Amino acid sequence: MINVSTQSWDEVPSITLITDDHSQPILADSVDRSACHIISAQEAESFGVLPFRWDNGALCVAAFQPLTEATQNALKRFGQVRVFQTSHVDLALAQWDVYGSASQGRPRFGEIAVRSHRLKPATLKNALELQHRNGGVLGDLLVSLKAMTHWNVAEVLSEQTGIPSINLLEAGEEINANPRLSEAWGHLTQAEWRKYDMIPVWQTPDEIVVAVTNPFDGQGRAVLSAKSHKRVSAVITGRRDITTQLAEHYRDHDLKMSLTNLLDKNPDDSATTTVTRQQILVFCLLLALLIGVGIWRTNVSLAVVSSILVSAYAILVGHRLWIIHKGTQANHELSFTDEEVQQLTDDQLPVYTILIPARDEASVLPVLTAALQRLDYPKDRLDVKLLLEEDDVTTIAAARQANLPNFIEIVVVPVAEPRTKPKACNFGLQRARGEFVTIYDAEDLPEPTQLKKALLAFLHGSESLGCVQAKLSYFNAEQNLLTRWFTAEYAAWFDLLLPALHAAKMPIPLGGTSNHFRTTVLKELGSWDPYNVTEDADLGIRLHKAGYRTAVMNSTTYEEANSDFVNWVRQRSRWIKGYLQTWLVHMRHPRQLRKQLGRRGFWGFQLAILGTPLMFLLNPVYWFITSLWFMTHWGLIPQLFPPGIYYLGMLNLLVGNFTFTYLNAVGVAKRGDWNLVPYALLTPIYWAMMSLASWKALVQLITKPSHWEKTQHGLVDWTKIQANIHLGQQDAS
Amino acid sequence: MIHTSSQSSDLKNSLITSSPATQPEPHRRFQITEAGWLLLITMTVYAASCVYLVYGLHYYAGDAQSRVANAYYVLFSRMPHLGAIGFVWNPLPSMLELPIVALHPWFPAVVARGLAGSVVSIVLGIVAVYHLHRIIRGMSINKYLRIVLTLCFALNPLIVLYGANGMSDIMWVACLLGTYSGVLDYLKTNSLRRLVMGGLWLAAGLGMRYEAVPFGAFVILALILAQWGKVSIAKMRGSAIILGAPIVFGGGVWIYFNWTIMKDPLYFLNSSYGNLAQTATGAYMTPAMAHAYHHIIGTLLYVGRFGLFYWPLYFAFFIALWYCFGKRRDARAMVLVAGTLGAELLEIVFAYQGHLGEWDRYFLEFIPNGILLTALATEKLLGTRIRSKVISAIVGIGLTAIFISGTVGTVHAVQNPVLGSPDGSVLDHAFHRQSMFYNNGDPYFGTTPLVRYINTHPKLTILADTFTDWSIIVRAHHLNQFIIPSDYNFSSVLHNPRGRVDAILVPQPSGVAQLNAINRAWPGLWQGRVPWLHLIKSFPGVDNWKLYQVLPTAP
Repeated sequence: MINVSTQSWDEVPSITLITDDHSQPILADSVDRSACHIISAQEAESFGVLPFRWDNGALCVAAFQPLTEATQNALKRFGQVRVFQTSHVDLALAQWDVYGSASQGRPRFGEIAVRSHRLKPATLKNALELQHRNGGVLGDLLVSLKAMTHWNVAEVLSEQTGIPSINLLEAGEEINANPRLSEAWGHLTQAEWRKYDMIPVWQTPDEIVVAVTNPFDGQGRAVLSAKSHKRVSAVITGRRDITTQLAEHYRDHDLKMSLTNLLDKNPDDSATTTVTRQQILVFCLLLALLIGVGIWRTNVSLAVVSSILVSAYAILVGHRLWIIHKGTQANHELSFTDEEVQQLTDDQLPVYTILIPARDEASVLPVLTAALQRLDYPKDRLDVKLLLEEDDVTTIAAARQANLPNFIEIVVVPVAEPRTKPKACNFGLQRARGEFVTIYDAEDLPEPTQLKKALLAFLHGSESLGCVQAKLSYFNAEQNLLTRWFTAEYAAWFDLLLPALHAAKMPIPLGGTSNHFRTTVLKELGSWDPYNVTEDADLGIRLHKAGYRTAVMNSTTYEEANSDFVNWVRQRSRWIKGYLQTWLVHMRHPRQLRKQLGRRGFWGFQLAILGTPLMFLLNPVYWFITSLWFMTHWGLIPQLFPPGIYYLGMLNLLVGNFTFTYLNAVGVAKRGDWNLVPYALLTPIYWAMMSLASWKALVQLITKPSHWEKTQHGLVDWTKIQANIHLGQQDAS
Repeated sequence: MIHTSSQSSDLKNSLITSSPATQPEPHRRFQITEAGWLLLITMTVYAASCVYLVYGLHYYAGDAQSRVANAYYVLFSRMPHLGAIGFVWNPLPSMLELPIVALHPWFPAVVARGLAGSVVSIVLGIVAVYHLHRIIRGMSINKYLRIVLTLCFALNPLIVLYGANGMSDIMWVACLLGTYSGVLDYLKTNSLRRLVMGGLWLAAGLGMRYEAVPFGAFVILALILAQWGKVSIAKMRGSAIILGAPIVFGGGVWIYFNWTIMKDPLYFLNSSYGNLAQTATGAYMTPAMAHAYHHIIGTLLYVGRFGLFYWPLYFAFFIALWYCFGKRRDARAMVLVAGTLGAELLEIVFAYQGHLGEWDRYFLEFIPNGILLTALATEKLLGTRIRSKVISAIVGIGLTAIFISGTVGTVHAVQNPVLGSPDGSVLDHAFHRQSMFYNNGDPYFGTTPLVRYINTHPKLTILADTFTDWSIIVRAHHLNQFIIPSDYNFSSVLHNPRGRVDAILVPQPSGVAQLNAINRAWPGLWQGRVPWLHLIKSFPGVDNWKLYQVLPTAP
């Protein structure tokens, strides 16, 4: 709204922009130079105006004559505008002071950077070509190319605009300790401060001074001025200065959010308490009933329990059969061709946040850097957060010395229980700038086009598409038999099971990494549950409960398969424990869950989340009973299997085992890993290992429900992997 | 730069407007497709033939009835259990018949007239036609010739007979064609799903017939060779494993059950009821078989003669063979040639060893294989060379004549007593509308007085071997009055019958009836040389059954 439309020109208040108290004319104190730069010199000259400050939510603009309709329309983009009249000479002198002479103007950013030896001419030329091709802001591009630092950019901008700069890395403590700024901080949320790349640095009763990275974008100041009802002026600083200050200021808040966000939003979905009192009561009642009936009619009760379990197992086998059918029937994943990816022009791409939690993984950093550099995404729009634990000093030191690209921000996660990956991710998410967010493990090698494919998936998909899961596979599949089995299992999981679940509109338990989200959706859901040790699977269920869909896309992230048996058991037991934990959490209110997931989704949840661990828990029991029968022909055993159930059990044992073996073989073949097909046939041995891990998980679920069994990475030769990345190869084997 | 959602929407719009997915779908009208018509015709013909054969001619295929009987014992014997399905014959036909046999209390004809078997053979006959049509559709043959070829198969008199009579042969042919279909589709389109389907059909084939084993081995070999030099060794090996794994698993399960239940992993092969034991009695050693016995040329001539079931096979086979080698190598030719040889390999071995029965149905695969090879040969020879419509029409008429002559040739072939045993007689009866009631080929021939006697004595518990006595047992009103081999205590009762069974039913120990468990356990029993038995009644006829009372002096 512009005030001149409602008042005559004579009633418009006056302003003097130039004062000549000194030997030569200078801008008056009432003029905020940073406000002047929200329009270009050409616009100021052609419109005959000069924006000179933000005050009480309005942009104050000086003019020497009533604004034309065209000018009014042009200024509408700044929201409320308050016009002040001044003389033509005053305006021209002020414009000259701010923008330079009409003929020459002020030097351009690149010219200043080259002239001040902060940038080489050839680099500037390359950057300008890149900007012409891909869009983006020149300063950000130069930083992403490591041609300049954030602070260099700030200095050049300061020189270009005449706006003073401030080094917050030096003045940071003073700012954070300033109690008068607490009111200013409170006017905007953390997300808003981050969005506008801005923090408050000074406050008086009438004015707030903010530090910004981009003086040409006045949106943040407009919002702040409107909310604070104060005058807002700006100084320039570097982005790293801003992020450091924000990190420092919001450290406790972020930590609290990373621990309690979900708990506050929806306590019933949080695994803070794994088993509720009601659930304990129900389990106790069932156990008492079982013991009671067992004492009364031992054989009958055992037969009933056995029948229920055998029937459940048969349903799971049937489910897997259906998956083979569905998974091989058609392509249910979202497939994008290279041509479609190339159609996305880089200047259209939004900022993409990548969260990379890492602990004790200093050795992986070179691979991580190489993998991220390989991503086909403009680096100035990558917002990578390397999430390191505060007490992991080795990795923090290594990261700081690793000369990481500028688009990677080291985020130090404060020490607090639980020490889980989701907590670190939540912490990082609070600082995410991207419209979309994904998560990678430190050793991940995503396919270069993955971010663009995910973006295409969101663009093609409906608004209900909350998450896109990339497939996971292993780059060290050929390392040993265990890695081959692991790869075969993943192939079946990501190539058959997940696409089939998507096609059947059933909830998808997400994989540990490479799940891409709309940031708003992720935050709306309360992000990851820090107390759940398979936060990925849990999040997949919560997405479905909230009415969002998850799709699988044709892009793969290569990870390091666990090649060590003990390490593998540790990792697998955590996954299985997490599934059981997730099941217990969501089954607190079965009827409500049934309503939220729908009938199909509810049963899909039972089959995937409970069924998977249940099968591995039951396998050794039935293998033992079968072996015992052959060895002893003990008379009790036939009584456990009433006639129909006996056949079902036999089907489970034979058809079930074959089905899952075949599923693995077909899965690896579908992925094109034909060399793994023979090994997939040996997977029954793998299941024995799974059962071992399952029982460990069950015990740990009772004793240490939120304990995170850290998987040790780096059991491969990373130098070889890194070399292969540079050669553009995906398979390091 | 931070993009707002509106910018994303613009980008979305620009991308989505070019997407074909947003084009409105054309209005679809319900139409019966070409395959639909063919299957409809097939179903009608097979179902009508079934009714005609069963109710018009009183024709019952003995083995088909016996398989239905096995399913009957599973559900309705004194001790119902799946093991009663038997461990000699492949179990899948009886398993598929189980749900239909379950209707026995309401529709006794599903067992007494073997309709359960007929329903399964009709369904799988339709499946066979579907697969054959699908395979030919994948070849570059014009629609008219494709339809003619499919009908030549579907309406071939032997195929119609087996599509209607409940025998496992048409079920096996359906599996054979399903395997071809999956493998050929995979080789053409690289569709993993089709390869999996091929593997599952092959495994199902083993559930129907043991011929699936050599057939599968040859097809797997052909799959490897067809991909040789075109794909990686890993892919050749992997695809072979995916195709072969289900049948290997199926075989393993079968051996496992034979081992755990019958205490002999190769019981299906070594059983006293098995083919080897039956042929060892000499009951099937015809003069023609004698020429093949231990004589390679004689064996090949014997088996090769059955190619007359679809005579164009002889030419088509060699044309396809030509396309198995060198630069002209065609994967389809390799698979079909290998499959044709593999499907007959077991017969060749058995004929050589003298273990082959004299039945023409063992060579039923020559018909679908002949038609597929003919289709391939037609495509190879004609291709797109003929451009003139007139010449094309003339060639088309000529080919039609050849195709049809193959089917008509089947009728002539089965007139030959060697090639048409026993179906030449069945077709004769069918074509001349002569009832087969009270015919020697009728498995129920001469059983009526015995069944009537048993039905009038419902409290009489009888020990009987279903191997020879099934035709009586399935028509008796009370199955529970029989103690049969699938009962857990059969063997015990057989050796210690006193007080546990009232009577023993036994056929004359000649031919395969020598293998009857009672005749084997108590030689001379039928002749009355066992002192603790008293003859209740003799039932003269083909099998000359005798019913003996068990005396208190019995062991």
